[in-house]
Amino acid sequence: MRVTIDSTKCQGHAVCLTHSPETFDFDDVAGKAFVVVADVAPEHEDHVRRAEANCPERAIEIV
Amino acid sequence: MTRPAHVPEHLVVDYDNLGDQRIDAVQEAARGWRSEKGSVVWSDHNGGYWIVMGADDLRRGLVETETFDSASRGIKMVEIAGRDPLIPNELDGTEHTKYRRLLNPFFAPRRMRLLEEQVRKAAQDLLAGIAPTGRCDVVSEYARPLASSMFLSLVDWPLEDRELLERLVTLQVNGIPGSTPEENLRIQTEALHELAAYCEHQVTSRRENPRDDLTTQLINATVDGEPVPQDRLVGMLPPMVAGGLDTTQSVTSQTIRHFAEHPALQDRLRDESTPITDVVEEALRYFAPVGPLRAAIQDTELAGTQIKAGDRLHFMSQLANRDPQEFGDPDELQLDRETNRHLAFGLGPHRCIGAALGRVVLAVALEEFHNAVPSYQLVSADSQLGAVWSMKTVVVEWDPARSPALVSTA
Repeated sequence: MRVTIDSTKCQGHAVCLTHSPETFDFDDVAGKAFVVVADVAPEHEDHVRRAEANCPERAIEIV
Repeated sequence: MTRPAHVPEHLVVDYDNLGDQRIDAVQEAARGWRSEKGSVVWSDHNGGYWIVMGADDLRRGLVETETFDSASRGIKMVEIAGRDPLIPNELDGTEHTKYRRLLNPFFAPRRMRLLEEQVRKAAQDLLAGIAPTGRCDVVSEYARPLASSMFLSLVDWPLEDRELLERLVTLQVNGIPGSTPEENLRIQTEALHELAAYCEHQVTSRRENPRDDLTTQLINATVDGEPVPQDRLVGMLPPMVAGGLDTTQSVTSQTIRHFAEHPALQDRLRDESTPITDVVEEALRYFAPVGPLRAAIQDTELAGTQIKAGDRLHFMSQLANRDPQEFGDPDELQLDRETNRHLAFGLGPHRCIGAALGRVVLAVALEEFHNAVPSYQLVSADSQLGAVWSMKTVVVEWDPARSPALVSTA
């Protein structure tokens, strides 16, 4: 599984950091999340799916 | 006022966001509007505005800032002539981004999570006084002092000003629901001026005696390489104070009121069978207190309804969070929703900057209350509308002999 964030859509709700802190991090000045580990380890795939499903801005894409 | 000609008669509903109504009654009425009229309806009150209730319509409306802006008519229901814009709430585009980037670091999620232990200590201190009594008004004795004191310590303003600020914020934001439009205009204008004067005083005193706090850091911050002008500095503080003092306490109070009538939900918090983050997200969905106000700056269509440039729109997160097309059993509070893309913090560039702070305070407030207070029942409750829907009072009672804190020290 690979995951990306569309930074034009992300508005920094940080919901993804709650669901998958091992995958996402946060730019405090831009106020936006970003992906730190784009190749998701199998044991984190469920977390990333929940992050994607709960992103308020639909900014997360699983590819 | 005369209703614009493009507003169809059959979409008009009797609703006043600043009127004398109760939250539950509005939710009930909105279910009828949705099924009979659709997800966009019109209110004649306060100069007239569209009420938008569809989750997907909010997702478009709050993101598409080239169609729906915050600057042209401001974000306050009551339009106060000649006032300075609220910063950054009433800026759009690149000007908004500059101020948002300045403020973002102060409210960054990591930084807010560092406050957790401080919130917990404040909650425990309040509860140490409350739990042995067997009865309290959740609003005035717990939810308000907790949210307010956290915000005041963040900006480092005097804690003894808490009740003064709470009063000014409530009047500035909500007026007195049920008053005439003229009275509300006067009440809100006076409160806004008084609050701005208070904020200006804090800014001036920090210029003279800089401290290691948010207010001083804002004074020292730059935009485009220049210090922030005084009017913009002062314009940043009222919306921040309003967000800090009025919103989280509302969700906390509404949640405890609901749990008082649903003891099984209390138990799920006490036995920690549901992650607190899930409880918080569902509470935010179900008890969202605010919905953003925008104005159309070009003609458009929303859910099949014609909107004209100049129209105001109330994107009501409170109602969109009960949209049956988005949420299964929307009128049931369910703590185990797998997917909960609620709109309590709004969306788009103006997404609530204090979201992470609100989440921390709400989580700790609910956890600690249920740690300290045994099974409790509702005695009485009353709510009010306004820009921030809130509980006026939530009185609950319990058997103090069963209070865990007392048991452990016995």
